[in-house]
Amino acid sequence: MQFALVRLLRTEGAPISLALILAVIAFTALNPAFLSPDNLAIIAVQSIFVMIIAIGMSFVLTSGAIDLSVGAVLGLSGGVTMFLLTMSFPTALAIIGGLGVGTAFGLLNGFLVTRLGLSDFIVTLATMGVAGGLLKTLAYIRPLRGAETDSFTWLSYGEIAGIPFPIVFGFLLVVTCTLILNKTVFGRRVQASGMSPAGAIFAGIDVPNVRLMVFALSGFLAAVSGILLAARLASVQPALGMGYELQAIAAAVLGGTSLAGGRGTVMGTAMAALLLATLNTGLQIAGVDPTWYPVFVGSSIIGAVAFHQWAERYVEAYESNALDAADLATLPSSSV
Amino acid sequence: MGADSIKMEPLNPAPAAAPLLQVENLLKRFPGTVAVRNVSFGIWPGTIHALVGENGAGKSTIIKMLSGVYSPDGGQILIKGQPVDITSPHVAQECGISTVYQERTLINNLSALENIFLGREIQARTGGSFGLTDLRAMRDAVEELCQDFEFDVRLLHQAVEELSALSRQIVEVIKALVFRSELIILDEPNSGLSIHERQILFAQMRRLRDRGTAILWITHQLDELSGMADEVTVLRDGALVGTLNGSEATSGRIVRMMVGREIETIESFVTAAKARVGTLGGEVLRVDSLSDYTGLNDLSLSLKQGEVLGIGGLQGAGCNRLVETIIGARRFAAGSLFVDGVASRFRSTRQAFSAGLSYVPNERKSRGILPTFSIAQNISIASLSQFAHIGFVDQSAEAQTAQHFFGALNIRARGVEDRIVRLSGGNQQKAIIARALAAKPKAIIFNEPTEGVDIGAKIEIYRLIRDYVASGGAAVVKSSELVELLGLSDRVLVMKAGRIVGELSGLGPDDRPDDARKLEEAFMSLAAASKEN
Repeated sequence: MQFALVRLLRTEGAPISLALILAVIAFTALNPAFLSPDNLAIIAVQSIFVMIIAIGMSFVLTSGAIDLSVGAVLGLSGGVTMFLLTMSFPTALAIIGGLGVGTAFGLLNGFLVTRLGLSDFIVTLATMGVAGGLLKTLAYIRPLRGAETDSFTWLSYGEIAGIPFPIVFGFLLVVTCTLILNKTVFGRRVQASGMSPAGAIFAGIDVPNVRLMVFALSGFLAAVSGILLAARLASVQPALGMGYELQAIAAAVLGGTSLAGGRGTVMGTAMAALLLATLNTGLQIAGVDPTWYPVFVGSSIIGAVAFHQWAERYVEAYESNALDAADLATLPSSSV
Repeated sequence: MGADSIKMEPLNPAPAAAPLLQVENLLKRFPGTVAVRNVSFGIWPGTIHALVGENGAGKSTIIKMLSGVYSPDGGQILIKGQPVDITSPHVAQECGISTVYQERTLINNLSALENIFLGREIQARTGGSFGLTDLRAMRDAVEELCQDFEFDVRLLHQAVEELSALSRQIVEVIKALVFRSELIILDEPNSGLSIHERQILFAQMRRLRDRGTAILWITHQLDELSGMADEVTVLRDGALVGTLNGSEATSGRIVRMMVGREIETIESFVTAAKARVGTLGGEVLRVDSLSDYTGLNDLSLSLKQGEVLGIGGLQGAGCNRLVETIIGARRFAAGSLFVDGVASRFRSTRQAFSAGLSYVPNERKSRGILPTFSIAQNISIASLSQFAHIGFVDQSAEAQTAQHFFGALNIRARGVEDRIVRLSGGNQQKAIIARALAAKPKAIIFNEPTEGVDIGAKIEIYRLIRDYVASGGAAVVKSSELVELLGLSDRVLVMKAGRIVGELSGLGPDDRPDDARKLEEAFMSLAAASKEN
């Protein structure tokens, strides 16, 4: 029984999935309409935008850094794409333009942090301001709406085999990024860089280079999210993306990624992003006054983090007890 | 073994005839294990009492019971014949016991003086109740001690982080002494100190003894016991093996007591390993007139296939900077570096590794191990591309390689998937060496290869290094342990103040103890030729 619990708690993303299931049960009990397929699809689509940048954030955090600019870069990338569409650029070019701007911001962050040795917190706080300001300027030049092409709209409203495209895309992204972080050489290096930067350097890893690539990935994913969101909203407001970086950090940490670096889980992050969207929609359906949402969401985050901490200690204590017993049997002179 | 030499004095009312501190049948259990099993010994005033044993033998647990961190599960502690109950570090202090821990406990950004009086500040006459302290009174209180220890009084007002390792050590000792401790526990006081600084520390320890203070000295450096320790208590697996008189405590005898079996000494190891030295191959690594902005000045060296090149010097001589520059972790300003004849200017350790160098870092905890990775992942991390198929790590090949090194390097662990932090220091170090070997390098740079490992694992590591070199490798070994440096290396470069000041040949198979001593003296006269600091 104890062993089964430990195995469950150790499985990647399991604790947060448990919390998600509990939330779904609770909201369904309050209002059975919550469980309708349409409603679940809406929740899933709504969660995708935060989920994408939170996955990027998971990589950055795992490598031992932080990226506060993702929300603003998301907004700017969506804005640039919309801007190019209003200038009658082909859809593909407009999207490439948006992706380019996002990736460029990621590279700029990475360059300033790793090559000039500036603090990641300050650099990305500053580029957050820069990207946010540029979006406002774009929106001032011309209204960023009313130019969507059919193929652009399809990005958020199209379906593949009856499943909304954003959900299909999110699923594929989660699978790909899980593999990258857990199974590839690059993923190993990202983990090692955050676990012990000195240890990684002396094991022959180019830690600055790894972080540069991770920042670029984060900027790219922010652009992807911004373009999908622009397609969803059919317009880009000057403040688009504001505050998303905090939701991304919350989702990553809720899912089990360590703020101290070295440990991250894409699956957990995705589940946490779903949980955040579930709370928003669930409270709405339950008829809670919207002004109270942040209070509920904030409290849930504290609860989830506390649970996570407890689970971690529980597993740790179980393992070291089991190991002490085993050590005594097999390793006569092992150290205490 | 040696049970008859254990001192078990009867309780004696005459103070001079009783030990200052006596432990009787001390017992400490931890979940699933007995850390200290019925240990008894006594410490006399005005003596240096060494406590030795392998990692995990129970030394730290005993200290923690004496200093009030742990409470014993059985047995008793007597001070001057009176049973005492040391329930907290504060009580220990009141009993006259001060402890200088292995992990430095000073607070870096406070001054030395503030550290010494931390929590026991002398209050100012006016405003004392508002928390004002009387710096002058505190300084006066320690001035005499500072003179005893040749510690510059002006340094008292400097932040501890600006002090040298030795000065910090002295601050810790002064902190222990200022409250008239009768027993000072020194937990590996010389780790992190250079050879020269150790000598100063030893002189201070003798001075303390002569003042009538008792010292309980925990150490790994058995060769330093002779002439220092009046009594030596040996522990193994939590139990007492015996207490020896200082005069009978030869390092060979102590090692036998510690490990419970015959073990190679470094001397016999040297004989065996170096007798097999074959012919040297081509030049693998060359450094020409290398200089940097931190004071490395015109350094040149050459390493041939099949040889071990030692690098040694006092703390701050630049040995560490030199090896870190070779491995690409530091930039150099002038000069050149060749690996296998190819001029190289590494901008990262990654480039050094791909050029064919490997590195075994010092400070294993912070620079060696990747703590949350498994042993297999720790071994493969420097050579991941070998295990990669289109970017994906082949985890079964990775596990196989780790398994191979478990056998080849005698790594004792439950399995390759276990986390590396679960291993003992010696096994962790062997895993880090396996990491360096897995990269199939042309040369390995070792920085303090046996830092913090058991005596048994030490000899194993020496053999690994010699075996690697004999099989066509080449090694640079930077070490601050003189015996290790001279015993392991074929040639030794001596550094001082950023320069190479001389080259010695290592201990040879035919060398006698006398030759070894002469070699050590030659090293010291080069490394510490003129007074510094």
